[in-house]
Amino acid sequence: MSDISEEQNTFTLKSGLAKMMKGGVIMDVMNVEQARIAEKAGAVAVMALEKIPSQIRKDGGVARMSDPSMIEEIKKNTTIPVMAKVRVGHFVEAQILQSCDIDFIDESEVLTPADEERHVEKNEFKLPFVCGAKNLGEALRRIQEGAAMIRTKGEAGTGNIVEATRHWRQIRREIDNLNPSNIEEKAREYRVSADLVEMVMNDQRLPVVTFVAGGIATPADAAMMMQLGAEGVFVGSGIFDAENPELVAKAIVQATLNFDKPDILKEVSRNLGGAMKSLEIKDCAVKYADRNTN
Amino acid sequence: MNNKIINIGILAIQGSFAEHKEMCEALGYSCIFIRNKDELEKITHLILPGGESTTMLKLLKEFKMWEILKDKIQNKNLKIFGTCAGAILCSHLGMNISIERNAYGAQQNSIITDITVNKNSEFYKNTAVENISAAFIRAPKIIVNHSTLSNRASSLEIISEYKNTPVLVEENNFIACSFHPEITKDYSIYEYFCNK
Repeated sequence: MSDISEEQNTFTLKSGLAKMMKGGVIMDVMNVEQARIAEKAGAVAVMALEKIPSQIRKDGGVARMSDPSMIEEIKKNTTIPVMAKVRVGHFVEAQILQSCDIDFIDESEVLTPADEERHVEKNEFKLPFVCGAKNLGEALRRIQEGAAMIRTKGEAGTGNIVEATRHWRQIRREIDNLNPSNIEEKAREYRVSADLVEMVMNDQRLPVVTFVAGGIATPADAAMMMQLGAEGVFVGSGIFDAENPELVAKAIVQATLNFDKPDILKEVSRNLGGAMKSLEIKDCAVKYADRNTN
Repeated sequence: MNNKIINIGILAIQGSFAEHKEMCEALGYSCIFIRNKDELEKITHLILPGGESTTMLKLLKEFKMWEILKDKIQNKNLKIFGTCAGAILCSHLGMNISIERNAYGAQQNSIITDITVNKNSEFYKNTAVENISAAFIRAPKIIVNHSTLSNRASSLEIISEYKNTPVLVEENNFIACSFHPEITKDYSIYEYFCNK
């Protein structure tokens, strides 16, 4: 056979993997044991990192990409996709993660930014990227740079859902406000191509799978985000900072899959023990969501 | 198209179910999302999408859909098309294949390629389709036993192979593939399945 076309690492394949995760929960894990708990609970992917966001908040200092050994150890011991975080703009950390042969890279504002002007040029990488956004402009700039998935930022490590709600509603509102007469103006304002804005107007959604993240601490939080239209959720500190991580992990998966069934939500919300230690947003020393919005 | 009454359902617990619905609707078939056991009773054709097989398997059992599925399959009242993770479910539902998960490696090994249809297959005889565009995303490997193939009573048929491994197979009411036709928007298998 001569002219069989083959393609690898294209946008279709990158965004395709995100499509397989729809309706699911992606969980932050710090070791193999936690990865196993996540997998057993029914997570669709794990995010391997040395410190969950609540600990990063507590410890302060510069938060960086995790040790490759730790990431590879988790990859070796799970069958579901493995993600890991790089600092915003840190393209060398991204090169290292690509060399670890994981499945997805999260260019994350939860880590300390490495570049205040630029994000990673994600189109240049073989691996798909997920990026955070709190409004439509940020989301579209990340997509134009090559992001294959978007997560709304929320405020990670707080256990407080209010910012996640705000960011989701903001993006929805801005999509609703697009119309044929303001496409050009919005494209200039968002600093993206008019074609991209027009596509969003026509489809009434972002052109990539969109999850919610940052502050989900209970099954009800996850179900609320799904009822608002999220395609899945990231749960960071909400699970392994809770009193009973195994129970909470299972309950959040159940709630995400049954987001519109209050009777099931009631059952899975019972007897979970203490939720993670949570924060009012005004008491956060650093608002991660405000990092690198350019 | 014939005049049989068909009711297509797509298991909509997790994964790429919306994309499968778009494929069926583009061909003019209406279909419903299946999220509980009552909806399962209404259908003649079921698509099991890509996603996480462990999650889907668990939920099918918890929602008491598993027994109904098995019954409908036993009574030949249901035709099933499983893609990727859905193929793994087929192997649990009685299809004579086994599956090796993540056999092709991590995401960097994912690939879109054309696969060639075996011209002796029922699929080819019905569709005359020679090539299918296939997206393998962290794909599982379908393993067919030699004893199954050499058994005359078996109706298992390999419709297509890629690098000497079966990637699209049919057996009685089952069709399973290790790739995602909903990602490449290749309609041929849907057309065949809906007329099956």
